[in-house]
Amino acid sequence: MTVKIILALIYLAVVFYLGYKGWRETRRASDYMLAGRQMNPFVMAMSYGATFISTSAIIGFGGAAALFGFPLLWLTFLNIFVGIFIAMVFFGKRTRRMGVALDAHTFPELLGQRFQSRFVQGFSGAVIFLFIPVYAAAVLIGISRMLEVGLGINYTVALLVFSAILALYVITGGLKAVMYTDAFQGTLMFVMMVLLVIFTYSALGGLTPAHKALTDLAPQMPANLKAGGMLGWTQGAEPFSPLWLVIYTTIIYGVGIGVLAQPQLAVRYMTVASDRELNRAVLFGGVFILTMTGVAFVVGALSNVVFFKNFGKIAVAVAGGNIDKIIPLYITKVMPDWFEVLFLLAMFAAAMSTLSSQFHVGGTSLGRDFYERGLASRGRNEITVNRVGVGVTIGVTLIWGLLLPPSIIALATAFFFGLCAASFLPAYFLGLYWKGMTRAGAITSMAGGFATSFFFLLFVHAKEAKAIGLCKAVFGVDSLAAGFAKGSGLWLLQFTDPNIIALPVSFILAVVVSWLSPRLDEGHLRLCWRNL
Amino acid sequence: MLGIASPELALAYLLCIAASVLCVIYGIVKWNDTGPLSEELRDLDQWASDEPAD
Repeated sequence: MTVKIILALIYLAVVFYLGYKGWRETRRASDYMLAGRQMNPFVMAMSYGATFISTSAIIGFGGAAALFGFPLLWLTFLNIFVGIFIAMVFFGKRTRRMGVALDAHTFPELLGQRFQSRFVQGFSGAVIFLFIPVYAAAVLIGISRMLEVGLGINYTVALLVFSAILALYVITGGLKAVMYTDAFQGTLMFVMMVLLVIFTYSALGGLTPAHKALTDLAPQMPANLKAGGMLGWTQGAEPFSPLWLVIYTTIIYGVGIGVLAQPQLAVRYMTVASDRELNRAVLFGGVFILTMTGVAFVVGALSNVVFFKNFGKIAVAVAGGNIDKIIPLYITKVMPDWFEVLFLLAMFAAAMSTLSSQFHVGGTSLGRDFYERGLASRGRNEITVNRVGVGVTIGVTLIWGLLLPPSIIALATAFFFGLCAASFLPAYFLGLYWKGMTRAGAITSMAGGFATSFFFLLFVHAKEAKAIGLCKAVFGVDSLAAGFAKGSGLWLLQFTDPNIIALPVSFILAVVVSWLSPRLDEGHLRLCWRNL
Repeated sequence: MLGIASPELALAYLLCIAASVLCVIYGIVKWNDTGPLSEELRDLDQWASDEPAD
């Protein structure tokens, strides 16, 4: 216990030093919101990656990989190819250049300025501010539970202390403090995940023998998963079976594509001084993400072999059916003691780096986008307004953290990713690439995408609809799709990610309404495209 | 392949590594490709906004 506390104090000392450095260097509003547009490529890439990857990506999805196996590697592929390569090269560079041309300080401000609409900025800010505390609360709950188990701290105390530490450096130091601490936290995560994969493959005799052992374990696949369509951990699932739809639409399509419209990630493209930083960030980010979700999913799946060899049971059975416990149990029961302590710190780092960015983007969305621009309230110090915004976001997150059940973690993440993709992705993507995209097209796409995604989350997609319970209260069923003929396309909608429907709807609305509505002023379009 | 039963999932495994390698190669090839600096772009905007309208 003493070693744990000493290491935790050293870790916190470094975080506070970096937070202090960020505070000392923050003098202007652009420092607070965009880290002065002069961020180092390594810091930018690690901050992007560490924000992207939260504890739930490693613990939650790693546990899901123990259940579903290697199909989740498609998500890692999308995380790297879409989340890093496409994001930085095709979204990042244009975002930076257009952001400078339009003097945008936040993601909603970029959209608002591009479409010359206070509504677009205010609406985007409101969506982010209202929903990011739920997503942040999910991360906060996860890490507070780990603190409870790992250090024996009372859950509520853990929640309050963790929030206070984050509040101190995010409110004072803004994005510079967030990104500096992210880079340190990302480095710690990177080292621990590399050690984890080396240890696991070594323990199983190397790469191919380890995979072969997992292949041979297929007869141990639980009967309920077999009934849902699972064939084995390296065999995958029967195409178009319910579990195949869960894996391929929710996990891969929903989370894999949703990353492109995450405001807390997109704002980072505007923190660098040139394309060079983004080019270098592609290199760092590509390696970082492989070692995060790639390692978590491979080790999660292979944990079945290790557990079966040592305890005669597969992972989910060892964890008593709770998949969130699989990775922590693997670390505790299989890895050396020294590793357990450092891995716990790496998980703190993963949670803190994601939370700090969520608080910052929630705060600037409330302060800059909703209050200052959406409500046209001026005259106050810009940094102060945003600091108050961050403080309010942390307060709301804390309230959600105390109210929500732990089982909400995965749901809240999917909810936020889904809403962001359906609301922002078409307006953002077409706004960067298509001069014909109009203000009416953007507003209709954002409102329509948001409404469609929200409707499916509340009334159709069984996982969220059942947990929220509104569909049951109004219509007496868990999902409106459950009433259709079993096996039909409409029946399968209850297992299909809402964005399979909402994202195309949002794109179609953007294109059709833009064709039918008047183009934006040519002078404004020249300004938007001046640097591209 | 690689001890993985499904060719589709072996492909997923290899594509994860290939995507990372692509990122590394891209980063190395474009290591010093700055494009226009944000400060230059801001100066350009300032200059443009000082211009008289057409």
